[in-house]
Amino acid sequence: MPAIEHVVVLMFENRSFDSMLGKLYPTDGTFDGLSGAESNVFAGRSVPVWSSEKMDPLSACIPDPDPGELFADMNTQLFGNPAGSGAVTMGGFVSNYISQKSEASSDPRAPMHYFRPEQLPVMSTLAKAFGVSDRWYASAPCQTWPNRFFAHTATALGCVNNSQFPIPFPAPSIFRRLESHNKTWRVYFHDLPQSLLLEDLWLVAPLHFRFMGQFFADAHTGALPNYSFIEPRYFANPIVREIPSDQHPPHDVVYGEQLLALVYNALRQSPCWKKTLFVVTYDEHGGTYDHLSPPSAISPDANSQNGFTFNRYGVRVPALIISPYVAQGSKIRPTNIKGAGTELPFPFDHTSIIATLRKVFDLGDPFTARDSVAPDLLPALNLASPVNLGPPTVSVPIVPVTTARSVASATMPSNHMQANLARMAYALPVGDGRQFTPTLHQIEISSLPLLATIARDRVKAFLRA
Amino acid sequence: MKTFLFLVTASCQQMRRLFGSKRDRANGQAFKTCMFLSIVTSAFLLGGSIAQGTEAPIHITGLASADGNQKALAIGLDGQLAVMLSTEKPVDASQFALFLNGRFVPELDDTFYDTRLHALIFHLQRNSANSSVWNGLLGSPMSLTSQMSVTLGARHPDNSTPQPTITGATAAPTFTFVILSPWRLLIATIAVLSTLVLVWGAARKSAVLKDNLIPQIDPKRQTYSLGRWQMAVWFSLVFACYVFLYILLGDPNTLSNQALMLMGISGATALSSIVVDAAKDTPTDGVNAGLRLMGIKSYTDVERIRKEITDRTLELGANDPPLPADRAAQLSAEILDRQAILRTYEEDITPFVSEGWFRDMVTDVNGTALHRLQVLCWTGLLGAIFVFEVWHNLAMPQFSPTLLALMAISGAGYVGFKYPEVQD
Repeated sequence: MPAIEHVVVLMFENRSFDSMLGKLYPTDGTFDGLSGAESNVFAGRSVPVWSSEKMDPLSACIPDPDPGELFADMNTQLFGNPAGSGAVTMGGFVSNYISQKSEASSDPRAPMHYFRPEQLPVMSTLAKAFGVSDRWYASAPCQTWPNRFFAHTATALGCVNNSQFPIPFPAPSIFRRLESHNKTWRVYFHDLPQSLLLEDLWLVAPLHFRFMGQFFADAHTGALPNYSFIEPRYFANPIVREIPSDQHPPHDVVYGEQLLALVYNALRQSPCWKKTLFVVTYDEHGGTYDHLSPPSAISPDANSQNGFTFNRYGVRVPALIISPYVAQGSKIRPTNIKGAGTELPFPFDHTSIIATLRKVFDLGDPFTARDSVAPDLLPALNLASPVNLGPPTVSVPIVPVTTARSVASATMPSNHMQANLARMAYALPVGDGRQFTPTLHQIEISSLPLLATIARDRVKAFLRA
Repeated sequence: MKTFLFLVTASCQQMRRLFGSKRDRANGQAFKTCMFLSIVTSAFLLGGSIAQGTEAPIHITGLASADGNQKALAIGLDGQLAVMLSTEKPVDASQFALFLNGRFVPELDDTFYDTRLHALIFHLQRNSANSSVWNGLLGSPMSLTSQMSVTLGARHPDNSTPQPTITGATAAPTFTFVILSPWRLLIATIAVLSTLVLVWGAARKSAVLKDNLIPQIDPKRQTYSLGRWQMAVWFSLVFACYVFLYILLGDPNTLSNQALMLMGISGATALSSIVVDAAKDTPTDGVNAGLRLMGIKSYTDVERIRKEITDRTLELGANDPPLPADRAAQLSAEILDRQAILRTYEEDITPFVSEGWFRDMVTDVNGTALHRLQVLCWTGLLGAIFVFEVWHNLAMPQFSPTLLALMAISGAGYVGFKYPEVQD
């Protein structure tokens, strides 16, 4: 087994595989990308996949506005109807996009947009320098929270939308499992860490949650923990002129590229590099088009909602598997033999992270039925020794953040993730005896910058405790 | 006889001036000859005057104001000095020159002979022809008054410089010259102090000399602006010096071109720095915009939030009648939200509050900035020179074009470096 001592996961937001990597290897038959002929039909007209000519700030924010991402929206995108009945066609992305209240006058082609490799130089460089998987699906055709909880706990406890979750989320997490096996972990975050929703972390969070700056320090000194989970910036903050780096539509993908480059460069220069596995993925597709139908999945547990038992994966999302043990140009699918063998019946999903951690660090039994069958990433480490050191650095895209731009970003309508993270922050026990927690509705109708301010303050207070 | 002796004495004094002291006299023979001729001439004149029945040569018998008051005589510029003569016969005033402290004061218009006082009346006026004499008499003032001796001289038909030949009977009489009139000084002091208080006194509490880039910060805690400070220095100095010169000299035209140029340079520097601040996108803009999005548009909003916390705390603490539980919970939440906003506010503005005048002047976010230090040094140095020159010479200094160019370059350098600079 490769001598992996550090697993680092960076999880972005709401982009499909095709929208980010669909054209990475356009003529390679072993890579399931876009041919260019894929389309949806809307109002009797074909709406094909397309890519903007330029990579200006407007293009980098496509689709704008944000596509629908509720469970019913995803059913419409996949099945053509909100109930999710019938066969999966992947033909309802455009109609669902246009049906959104805020998007009635939008460009119907927006969800069919994809970025060409040269428009995402960091992601495409790393994908080609190491490995990319075209078989990584979101764990469920659901919103952010269910999918992120799958990455941490291998279940969503039957909740399909962010707003339905209890706060805190009670399922046991991989973090505490690591701890119980004397393995170290940290969550590195920018503003509001979604993983702070995990109930079993509340008691120990101040010991393990660190602002992103600490990641770079830890990487530099070789003090990375066994498991690092990185959360991008979800909120704009004009005061420090920060723009979200999570790539959640319509956030500019260039800032995610910046973050990816910075994280890779830090790892590449770190003393830990030769013992590191770096995984980059997205929580869910966020309403952007992918041509591959999600396969069936094993239900994680007995929880369900309106008959949905989480027995389907969500839409395919990008996944980079980066390590000196991964050969350059690897196209990774789940197999049981290193670099070869028969493709396993189940694709990668977010519980593959848990499966990998369990295997690398010998963490014992699976959490749920889902991660028990999830393929791990060890076969993807297809080199016998850490010889593919990769490019010494990748260029960090420089896009100055002006005050006007950060203000514009901060005053966008809140997305579901942001609104619910603010709700989480209000629920954090910071020792002030607060009894009133605003409802989601109250948060959504309020000023997002103000809520983000209060939320950041509460997270800081909580983590100081 | 008295007149004769006076003429002989005066002649001898003139001879001494012409030929030097006795000991080192080289041409003694010529001296003796002249002395002899002087005595003969004086005797002739005396004989002539006796023969004509006129009085002895004139001397000053006293000094008075124009109304004849000799007691507590105190006269200033624009006043009239009566120099009483020993003769009762009217004399031609235009033939006499006034000397104060031995300095000839030319071009005193309106000089006339007062037959009632038997005196020459001099109007002590300052004009372009005699301003340098007055500057010498009044410059470097250390008190409100000074004693001045008065002598007269006879004007010559050839317009050559007269000599102070007519004194008092035994010595030159003196009078008290009022350099600064107490009441004018009082008014001027009030005017200058009011201006200084307005500009400098309020500087700490108001945003007059502050950058004010983040209006949400209490004006007392705003950082000082180097550009505004420099502009205020030159305005204050020029204004105070102008007032000082006006009350001293009564001259409203003391502003020099150089003083105006200094004010112009400093004004242009301040204006340019404001334009640069407005044009470039700095962290202060981010803080300003971010606080606005939080509903804090000015410091008044900060005070409003504090008051809202106080009001809610009072309401929450009132037990009579007891608050319903839901109302208490709501108040508590509202207090906590506002406290969170204020914590964020304090955290965000901390890098941008003043660290004291000197540090604000010379530092930006990278520490001490040379371009700021040079503006501060040159302004301080030239300001000190400006004040000294005005006090010493009673005129706005005439700085050379090179020195003014130095100030302009210093200001331009500051503005140029300011573009990438981040004030912290």
